Amino acid sequence: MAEEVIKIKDGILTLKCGKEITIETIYEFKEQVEQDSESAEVDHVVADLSEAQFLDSSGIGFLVSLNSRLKSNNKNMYLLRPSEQICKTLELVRLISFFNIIEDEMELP
Amino acid sequence: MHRFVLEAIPTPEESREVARKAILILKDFVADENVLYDMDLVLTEGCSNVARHAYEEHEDCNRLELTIKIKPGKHIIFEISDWGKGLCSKSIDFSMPSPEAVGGRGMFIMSELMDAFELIQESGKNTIKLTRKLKEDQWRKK
Repeated sequence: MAEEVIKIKDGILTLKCGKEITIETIYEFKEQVEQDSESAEVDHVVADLSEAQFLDSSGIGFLVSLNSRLKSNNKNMYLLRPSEQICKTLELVRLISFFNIIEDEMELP
Repeated sequence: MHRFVLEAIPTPEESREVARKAILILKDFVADENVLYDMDLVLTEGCSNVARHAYEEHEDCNRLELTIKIKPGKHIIFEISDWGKGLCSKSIDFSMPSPEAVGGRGMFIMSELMDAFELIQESGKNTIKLTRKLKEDQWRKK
């Protein structure tokens, strides 16, 4: 069953990621997030990774692709509260400083 | 030497499930959670490669086979096999793609986290053999 939830409020699209962002899970929400993030209602996208414990290269590709798509539309993406394991994987592929990482929604502009 | 064989139809879901089952087996031998996480990532990448690239079309007769060889106190070997296109060694790129690249990180991840990488092609069977040596304190004490 899909654990991810997409919510749009006050110009922020929040993607509540589940425990895993992988080849197995991204297709459940990829198209919908990409489509919803194009909306004029959305200024920022927050990928809530607070429950995520596992990220593979397919999940990384999804996050990179969404980030680039948003940048081209002058929007920003933020990774919220990634766990130590998720950060370790992002460090491994040298992307830890590529993404905007926040620990609290209050940090959003 | 302990030997385990897992088989699946190479779909995205099944390839991830094979990695999960392998980790359950490895937990009996490996104590270090970071090593188990690395192994999970390597196996997910290796099995995903089969699901995405080995076969032209999805068919129920397609096969993914994972053989795990464990020599406690020494090393772990993964052999990930398919009977499809296989990987041409000349086309494998272990380098890190640019930050904006959507794909191409799987091989880099496997090469970074494992100690040895070998491609074997034999009678239509294509195998990626990956070896990781573990330190003494990373093994579960029996």
